[in-house]
Amino acid sequence: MKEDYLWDKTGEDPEIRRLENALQVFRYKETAPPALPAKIIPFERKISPRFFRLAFAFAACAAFVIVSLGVWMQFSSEKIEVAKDSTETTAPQVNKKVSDEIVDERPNDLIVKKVEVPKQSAEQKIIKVRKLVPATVRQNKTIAQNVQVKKPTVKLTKDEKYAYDQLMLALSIMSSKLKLVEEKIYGVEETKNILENER
Amino acid sequence: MPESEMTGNLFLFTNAATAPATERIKAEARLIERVCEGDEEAFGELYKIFAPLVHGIVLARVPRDEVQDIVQEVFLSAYKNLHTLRDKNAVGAWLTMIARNRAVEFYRQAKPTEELSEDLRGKDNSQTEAREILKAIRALPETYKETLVLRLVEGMTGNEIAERTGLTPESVRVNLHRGMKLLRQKLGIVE
Repeated sequence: MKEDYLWDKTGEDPEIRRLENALQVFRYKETAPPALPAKIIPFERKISPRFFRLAFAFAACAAFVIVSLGVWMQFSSEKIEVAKDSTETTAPQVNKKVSDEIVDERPNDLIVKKVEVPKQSAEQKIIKVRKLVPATVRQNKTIAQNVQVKKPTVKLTKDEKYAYDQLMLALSIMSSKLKLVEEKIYGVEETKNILENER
Repeated sequence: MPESEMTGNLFLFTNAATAPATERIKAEARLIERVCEGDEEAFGELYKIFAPLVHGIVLARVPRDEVQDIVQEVFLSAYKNLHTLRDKNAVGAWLTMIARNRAVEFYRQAKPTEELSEDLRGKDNSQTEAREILKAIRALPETYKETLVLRLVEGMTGNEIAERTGLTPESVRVNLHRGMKLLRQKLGIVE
């Protein structure tokens, strides 16, 4: 029956009973349960700081993408507007104005040949006017000068401005050379006319 | 007696024994649910039921002056982490695990100390004998010392130990007998 006493305390085993009695001093003495913390939310999962970091990174990425998209779209729409302005506003107006005025005054003396407007630039226009009479040439020049070029109110970037300046420089050089050629041609024609008149 | 009859008796015995045990487990599960709902009284009941178990587990490993504090810590930790308990029918096993971990943690954090000598502690023969026996039990392998402390110190029966710790009754029986045999050898008790 010794085994039974060890298992379920039935029967007798003086030796085990002696051990039990000796060890009784260490037995658990009933105490109050621990004081629970004032406020615990035990059944909510904690949101780790890692989650916040990930969320912040995601939000930052999203914001960056949105801002860059916005900037890109705005920039591209501005470009389109500038192109439209340059094609619609400058060339036809100039052409019409010049030709109308000239036709009104001296329709037989003047032929407006061509108005060239480069597609890329809003400013550029070359008006080639062949004048049969020097007086009309001057008149046309003044008319052409009076034509105000509508400048687009667009802010350009550094690169664009640089390209624009370069183009303007090239055009001014070209126009000055054309003037020289023009003067030479008309100078020759004038002398011819004088000679013919004298004859 | 034929073997078939013997096994039949054993089957009847186990059925009869497990019926109240399952009832008790269900009651404990309900208690846990109440604690989960924030019932402090239920927590007090839970403490009353399982404190001897936790005390025994800790006493088998840690100096007895520290045991009470660690028991309280175990229950506080259990309260805070009750949402992590998956099987509400295995509270005992879960608390046992927390108690073992706390004991390990105690030794990890403990500063080196020296035990008081017998002269300083005072001479009490019964206490001295008890300390010697406890020391011998603590020197036993892990599996035996826990079961023996629960049986000899906390006064639980084999079935109670099995129910509370989640071990099978057979394992507890084996641990008790082998542990007792080793303890006798250590204490120089002749069978």
